[in-house]
Amino acid sequence: MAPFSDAGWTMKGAPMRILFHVTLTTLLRHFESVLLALADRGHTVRIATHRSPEIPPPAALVAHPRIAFMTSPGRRGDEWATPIHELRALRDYVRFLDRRFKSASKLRARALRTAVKAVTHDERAHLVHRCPKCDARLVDDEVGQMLRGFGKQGVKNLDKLLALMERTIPSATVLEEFLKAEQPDLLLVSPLVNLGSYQADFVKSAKALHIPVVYPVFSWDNLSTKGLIHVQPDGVIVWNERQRTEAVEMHGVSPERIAVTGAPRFDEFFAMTPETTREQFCAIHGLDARQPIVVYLCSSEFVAGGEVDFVRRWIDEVRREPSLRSCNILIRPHPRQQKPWKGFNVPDARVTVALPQAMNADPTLFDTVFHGAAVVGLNTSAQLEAGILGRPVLTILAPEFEEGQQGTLHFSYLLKEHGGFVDVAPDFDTHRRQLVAAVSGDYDPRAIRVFIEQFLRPRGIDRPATPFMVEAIEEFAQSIHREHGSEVTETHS
Amino acid sequence: MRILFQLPRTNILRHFDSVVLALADAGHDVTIATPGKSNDFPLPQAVTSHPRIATRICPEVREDAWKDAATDFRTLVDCGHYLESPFFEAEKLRSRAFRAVAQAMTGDKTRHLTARCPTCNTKFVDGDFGNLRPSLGDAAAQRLHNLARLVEDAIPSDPGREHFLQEEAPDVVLVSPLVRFGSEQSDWVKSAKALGIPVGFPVFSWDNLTTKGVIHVEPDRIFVWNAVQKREATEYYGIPPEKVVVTGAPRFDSFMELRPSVDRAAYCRSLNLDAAAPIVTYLCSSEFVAGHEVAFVEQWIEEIRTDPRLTSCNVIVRPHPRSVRQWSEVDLARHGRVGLSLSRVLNADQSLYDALYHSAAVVGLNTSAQIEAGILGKPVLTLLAPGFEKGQQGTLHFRYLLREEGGFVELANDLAEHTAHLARAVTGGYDVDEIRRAVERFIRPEGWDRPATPILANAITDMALEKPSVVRRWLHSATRGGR
Repeated sequence: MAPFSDAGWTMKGAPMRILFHVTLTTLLRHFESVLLALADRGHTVRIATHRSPEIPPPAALVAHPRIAFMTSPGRRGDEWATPIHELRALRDYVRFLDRRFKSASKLRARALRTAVKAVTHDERAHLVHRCPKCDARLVDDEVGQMLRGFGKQGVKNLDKLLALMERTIPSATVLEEFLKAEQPDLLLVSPLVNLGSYQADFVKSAKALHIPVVYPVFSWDNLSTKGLIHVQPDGVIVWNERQRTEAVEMHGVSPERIAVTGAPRFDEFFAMTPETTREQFCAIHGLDARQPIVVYLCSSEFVAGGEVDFVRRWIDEVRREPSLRSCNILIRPHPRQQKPWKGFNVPDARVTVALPQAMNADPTLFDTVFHGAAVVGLNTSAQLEAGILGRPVLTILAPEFEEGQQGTLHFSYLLKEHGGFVDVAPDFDTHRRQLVAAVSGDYDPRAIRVFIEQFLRPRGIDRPATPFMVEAIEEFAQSIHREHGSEVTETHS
Repeated sequence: MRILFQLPRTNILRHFDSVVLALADAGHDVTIATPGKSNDFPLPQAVTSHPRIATRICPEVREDAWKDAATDFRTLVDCGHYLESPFFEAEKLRSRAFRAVAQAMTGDKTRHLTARCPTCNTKFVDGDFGNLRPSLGDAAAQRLHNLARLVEDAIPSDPGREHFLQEEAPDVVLVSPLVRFGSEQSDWVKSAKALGIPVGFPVFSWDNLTTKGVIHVEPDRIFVWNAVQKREATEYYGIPPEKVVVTGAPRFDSFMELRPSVDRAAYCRSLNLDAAAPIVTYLCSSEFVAGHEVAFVEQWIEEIRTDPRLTSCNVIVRPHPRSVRQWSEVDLARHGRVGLSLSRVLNADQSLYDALYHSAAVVGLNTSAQIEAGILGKPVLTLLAPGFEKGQQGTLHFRYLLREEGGFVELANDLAEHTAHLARAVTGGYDVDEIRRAVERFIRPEGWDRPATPILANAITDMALEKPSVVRRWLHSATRGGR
C-alpha cells in the first residue's frame, strides 16, 4: 500500500504508544492506511491478536519500523472466562428481539445459535421444542420468540438487567496485567461487536486502568448485524451519520463520544486507476469488447449461501430480454466463497467468472467494475465499490435469499427508496427493465456520487477518510487523557 | 442476644410465634422487622406485649441500581429451576414460575409468556415451554447455573439493608420464607453475610423447598422440619449438610396443645349433623392446588353417599382459609347432613381441631391441614381427582404424605377405590400408630413428645454462639475501648 500523504495535517499532542487489539489479523485490511499514517506521524503502533496470524499481516505494516505485532491473552483468566461469553451472547440475542429487528429473522437466528453454542459448547446444538398439538419441531428462534411475550417494556427491562450484570462484572486481572505491561497511551479495538464478544473485556480493563479506549467500527453493517457494544469505549469512530445514529440508538453510545470520519478502507480504492484497457480486460476474460459488460457481484455465505443456482437462473432471466442477449456477463464470486465457482460453466460464451484476488482494494475488482456498464448483486459490500466508480447498481429481491436481504437492516441502507443508490426490483420483469436502462446509460451518476459521499466520505468525496480517522484517534486520546487528568508521555521504555 | 427476624409480611410469623416467644422468654431481645406497608396481619397479643420483643419497619426494596434488577434476575433463575430434574414433571409449578418471570420483567400482573406454533398456530403459554431444557443438555444447564451463581455473587450487598443491620446490630438474623419468586429477602442474607452477622433460614412450611424459588444466597444455617426437607436442601439447592439443622415444625406445637372446645353432641348440633352417624371431613386445598373445588366436592359427596356404608354419614366441608369466598353462595344443605365449617384462621385453629377431633375420617386433595388430621391420629385419604392432577401429582410435596412414600395418607386412583378406602376408615380400619409414626417423622423427628419450638430456639442461639456477629464483636470491643 502506498503511504498515505498527511500533508497539511498537524499531529494532536505528543507521539503515543498505540495498542490495536484485533481478533484476527485479516481485519487489519480495513485499517491499514490508518495504522501506517499513525506510525508515519511518529506514533508507535503495536498490533495485538490472541492467536497466530491466520494470514500474513500486510507487508507494509510488517515493514514499518514503528509498527510491531504481538500476542495478547485471548480472554479473561478468571471464573468469568467462559460465562462472560454466555452472558454476552444471551444479551446479543435479546438485542434482536427489539422491534426494529422484527423482520431480521436471519440475524436473530444467528444470534440465538451463537447463544446456544455458547451455553452448550456444542456447534451442533439447537434449541428445540416440539409442538404438543402437531408435533412440529420448533428450532432456535422459533422457540426464542417466546421472549417476545415480554413485550416492548419487558424486553427493554431484560436488556437493562443484562446490562447491569455486565457492569457488575469486574475487569479481568490477566488483561489488566497485559495492558500494564504494554503501557499504551491509547487502546484501539475492533471489531468489538462479534456475538458474545470477548473483546469487550479489553475495553473493560482499559477503562479500569484509565487507558483511553477507542473503537473504530469495522464495516458498514457491523452496528446493525452483530452484537452489542457491551462495554462502552471512550470513543467510537464511525463511517457516516447513519452509523452515528445506530451507535446512539442501538448501542447507547453518547453522541459526544462519536466521531464521523468516513471509511478509510476505501481510500486506496478511490485512488486506483484501471490496470487494463477495456480491450485487454475483455481479452483476459474472453469477453466481446464491443458489447457492454454486466457485472454480477456475489454475496457472502451468510447473506446468500448457495448462490450458484440463483445466478444460473438470473442469467437465463436476463437473457430473455432481447437487448441483453448479447451483453457480456461477468460473475465475481465473494472473496470468501470462491470454491463453489470453480468449474462453473454455462452454455453461453459471453458469461465468465472472475475470481477475486483480495478482500480489500482489489485491482481486479476495480477493473471489473470500471469496465462494467452495470452492476448487480444481492447484498454485498462490493456494491459500494461499484458506487465509488459511479456505476449503476441493481438488486433483485430473491425469495430464497429474503432473510439475507430484507432480513438484514443494512440491505435497505443502499436502496434508492431509502436514500441510497441501488435500484431494487421485486421481480425479474422489473429487474430486466432496470438493467436495460442502466446498460444504456439511463441513470443519474450525480445521485450515486452524492450517496457515496454521504456514506463513505461524509467530509467530502475528494477528501480521504484516513486522515480524519487519524485525527479522531489523536483527539480522542488527548481529550480522554485530559478527562483523566493524565498526559501522554513521549518516551516509553 | 439480639435477634432480628426479618419477614416480608407479618402473617409469616404465625409459623414462628412460639419460637419468638421462647427466645424472648429466655432473655433474648427479638426484633421483628417487616416492611411497613406489608403488615397485613396483626401480631399475636403475646408477641406485641412481650417486653423483649420489638417491631421495626425495615427497608422493603433496594435503592441502588439493582432495585428491580435483582428481583428480575432471581425470578429468571427461579424459572430455570423448574426446567431441572426433579421439577421437570411439575408442570403447574413451572407454569407459575414462567408467569412470574413474565410479570417481573414487564411489571404487568396480567402478562404471560406466549408464542405460537408456526405450523399449526397452537398457542404456547408459560410452562408449555418447559420441554426446552432437554434440548440443551445437562452440561449447558450446569453452565447456566454457574453463570447465575457468578452474577448473584457479583450483585453487591444492599447499602440500605446494611445500614439497617448496622443500626440494629443483631447477633443473629433470621429470614423466612426466603424462597418466594425473585426473593428480595436474599438481599437480607447477602447483607448480613457482608457484615459478618450469622444468618439463619427457618423454612416456612413443608412444601416451601419444592414449590417456590431457589435459595439464591446461602444462609449460615437452614432449619428444616424433617429428613425429607434436609434432603431437598442439600440435593436441590446444594446446601452443605452441616448447614442444615432438623428441628421439627414449631407451627404445630400450639395445635398439639389444643383440646376440643365442645363435645360431640354439641358439635353436631351446631352444624345440624346426626351425632349418631360418623363424620367425614373434607379439607379443601388452596386455590393454587385445586382452583375452584366446589363442583368436585359436591360430586364427591354424591359419590360417597352411593355406598351403603357411607349413605348416612355426616360430611363437614372445610374450605381452605384463603378460599372461603368461593363457598359463600354454595347450598350444601340439599345434600343432607353436610355442614360447612368456615374459618379464616391459618394456624392452630380451634375450629379445625374440633372438626378433626370429632371426625372418623378426613379427605383432602393436597393440603397442609392433612397434617393436623394426622396429628389427631385420624385416617386421612386422598384420591387422584381428574382436573386436579397438576395440583396433586404435579407437585413434589403431594407424595411426601402418601403411605406408599412412608407417609400416612391413603391414595386412591379413582372415586370407587376411594369410597372403599373411606368406608373402611370410617369403621376404624386403620392403624393409629402407623399414622402417628409418620407424623412424628414429618413434624417432630426428635420425638412425639418433644415440641419443635425449643429445639429451633436452641438451634438459633447455637448458631450465633458458633459464629459470633462481627458487628456485635466490633461494637463490644469499641464500647470497651471507649470506657
